Amino acid sequence: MKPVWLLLSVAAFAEEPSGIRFGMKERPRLEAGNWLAMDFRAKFQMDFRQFRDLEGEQDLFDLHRARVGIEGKFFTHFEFELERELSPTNEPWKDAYINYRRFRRFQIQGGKFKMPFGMDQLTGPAKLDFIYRSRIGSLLAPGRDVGFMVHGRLRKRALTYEAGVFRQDGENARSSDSRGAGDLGVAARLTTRPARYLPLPKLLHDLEAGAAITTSEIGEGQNGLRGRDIAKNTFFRRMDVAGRRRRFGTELRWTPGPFAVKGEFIGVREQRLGQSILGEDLSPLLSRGWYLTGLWRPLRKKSSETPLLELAGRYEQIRFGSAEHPGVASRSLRAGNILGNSDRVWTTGLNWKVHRYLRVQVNGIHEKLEDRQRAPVSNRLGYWSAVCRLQVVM
Amino acid sequence: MGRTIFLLPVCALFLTAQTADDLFDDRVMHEVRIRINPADWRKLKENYLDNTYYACNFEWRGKQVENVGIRSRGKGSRSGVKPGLRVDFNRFEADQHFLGLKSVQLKNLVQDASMLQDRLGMLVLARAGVPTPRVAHARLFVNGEYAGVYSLTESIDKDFLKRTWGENNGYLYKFEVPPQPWHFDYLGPDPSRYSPVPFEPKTHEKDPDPAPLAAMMRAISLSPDAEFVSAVSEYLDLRRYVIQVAVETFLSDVDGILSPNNFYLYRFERRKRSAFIAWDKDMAFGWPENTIWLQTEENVLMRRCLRVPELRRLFFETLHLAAAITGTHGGWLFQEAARAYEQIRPSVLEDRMKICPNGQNVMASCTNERFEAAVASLARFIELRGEYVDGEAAAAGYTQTDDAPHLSGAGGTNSGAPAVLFGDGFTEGVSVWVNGFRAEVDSISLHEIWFRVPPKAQPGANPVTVIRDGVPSNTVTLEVTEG
Repeated sequence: MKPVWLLLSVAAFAEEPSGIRFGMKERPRLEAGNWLAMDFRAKFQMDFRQFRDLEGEQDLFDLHRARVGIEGKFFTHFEFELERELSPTNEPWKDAYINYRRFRRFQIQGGKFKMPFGMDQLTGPAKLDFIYRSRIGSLLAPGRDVGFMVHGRLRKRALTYEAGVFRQDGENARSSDSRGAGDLGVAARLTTRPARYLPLPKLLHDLEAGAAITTSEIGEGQNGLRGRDIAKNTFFRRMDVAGRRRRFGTELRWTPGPFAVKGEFIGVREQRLGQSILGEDLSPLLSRGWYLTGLWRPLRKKSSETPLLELAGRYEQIRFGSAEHPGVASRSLRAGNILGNSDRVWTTGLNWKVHRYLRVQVNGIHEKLEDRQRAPVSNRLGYWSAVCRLQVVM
Repeated sequence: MGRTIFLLPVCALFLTAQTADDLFDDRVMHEVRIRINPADWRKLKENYLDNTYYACNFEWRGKQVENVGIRSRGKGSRSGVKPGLRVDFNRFEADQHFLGLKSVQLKNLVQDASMLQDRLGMLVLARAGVPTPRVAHARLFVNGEYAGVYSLTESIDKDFLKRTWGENNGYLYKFEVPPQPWHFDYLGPDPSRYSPVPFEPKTHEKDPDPAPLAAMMRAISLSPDAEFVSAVSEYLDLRRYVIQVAVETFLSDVDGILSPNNFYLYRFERRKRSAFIAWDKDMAFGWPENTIWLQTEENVLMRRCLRVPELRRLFFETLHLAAAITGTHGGWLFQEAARAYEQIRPSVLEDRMKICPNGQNVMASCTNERFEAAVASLARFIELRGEYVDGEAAAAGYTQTDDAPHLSGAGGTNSGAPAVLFGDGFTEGVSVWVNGFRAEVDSISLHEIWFRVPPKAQPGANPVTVIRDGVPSNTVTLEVTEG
């Protein structure tokens, strides 16, 4: 490694070799005078999974994430992050952006990053309360895309805002053959901490609420959002959609003492203009869901952002169907009245921070689908999964 | 108004009275209309190698089913110009049926310029008692536009099994040609060597129980000669197998059960024994002088069957029987072919999507001249095949056994009138075949059979054969006069 660092240093900072410092605090850090500071980061998550009732999905080891990246600042006001997934994936580049932060209340960010929508989706993978994101966070929130946004926070986070324009409307909507992406995604998110401007009791000081929207245009031949369970079995296929895709989300986070409560609702409405068998308009596809999470942190160091021990429980529901219900409900991709399907999931978990770099998570998950015909287990609507994750983050 | 009210229940009765038999009735040229989103039809044709289902509405004789699944189908016949279609009525609605059927096949008939071979092949096999799907021709309209001549073919599924054997909870497999040539050889005891390839489960997909397949292949390949029949008979009715092979051989089907290709295997409920089901006869009727020994040596099962004297005799007898029940010029199969030709001809001439193999055996646009030439070639096959097959069997040493019925002569007359056959070995239950037409028998004595000349028998020399318990007699000529 040494020759590589040396080469990088010489090439990049040849004019000021004396200002280059390479050190190690929580993670490797490179500094060049006052104008560059760069941290080297790595995230590895190894999952040991048992999908007890699913055929052909037994006892799987999954290298869920293996990411390396850099993040830092240059010329005082510019921040950057570059992260790449090492395990095989369709989108190896994760975050790759530059943020101009002259003022906290007004910043400009450009590149590839998560569209500002969905509290769970916007939570970093190393800080998740559970091994898997909520169904709505994984399936309905847009995720990353290329674009730019303005964002900032006012009066000590009394109000934060993010608003951006993106090339499409997020990786989560895209299928493996890139069908499903809406063009020119616009997203905006507002969060507020009412205690900053209202005389609320101390118990409610950490209460934070927010709302977000996205809108994008879905061209002819594109697919709608699909429903998949934890083991990635599809329980609701991608439908043919055309017109506008609109997302609406609300979120709430409250952390009284050692407890925390989080909840989120997301609804997505996708038009189906000219999508009937006869080429007529169909009622929009409606995908919606919510979750409610409760956390208890009996052991927590004040200096640490991540608690030592955490007990967590989450109940969530996600449902796909049509907005209107004319005629007989059908599973057909071009049905006016779509026979909906839903997934209701209970997750209980334990999070243990063994070491600064090492975290262990254990989750028990029970899912229950609505439509027997689209359930992954023959003639069974409910099934269990158990997952243990070793997470190494530096 | 009053008349309308009166007619409504009559119309309703007519509509509800339709059955699957009507759908596969080959006496009429059917008309099937499909309504599909134009984007889906374009995608289906562009991605014709995929099995992606699209939603459509299916209509036949004014009876419409909505939200039906269709996809491109076939192996060598797949086409983006004239796609073969599998129609699944219950793809999106588990309980949806059409005339009691869960699905139907719309074959594009692109591997056969005459477009008749599959239908006629199935007719002959069915006549010989081989389980076959029902086939009829149809004009297909997609979104109101004529899409060409297709065949409406019954799916081999649980509905078919119930109709054929009265049960359907056994194990049904479709034979899929494996990457390496395979001719029923034993591949070892591991059941996964046999299923899902080459025996793809079509029922009990999640628990296809292929172990009996491995045991069957072991018996076929490894049982000692002396125990071959008893060992294999645990798993197969060898007589039925030999009959099917012989009829397919008679039809000169180079892509049938011996290749092996184009068949299903059904293992009966709670039994080890399986039966074969014929599929796709569009490569039959190739060349009338094709040897009867084609592919018989490569196929382990047939090679060993032919070493058993009783089964070898059955093979010859069935070849001769096939000639007797199909006839020659002007006979039953000839007339069936002519009827089907007249039925589909206007639609074929109008079909601008038709495709067939060109001189280099590459799929290409098919002209009306090629269609006419292929039909003429088919007629020639029907005229010549029986004589050639009988000749080759005789050259291989086939002679009738002493206990087979024997004909010494026939007294001729005109169509529909009484006629007489002379000979011996006649008993109750014999059937008389005049150029492929089964005759009505009036009386039987030890040395005479009185029967009616079938009305459809053409004037002139007609071959006549008597069949008793599946054993055919020699063939004599009956002069039928104009009458």
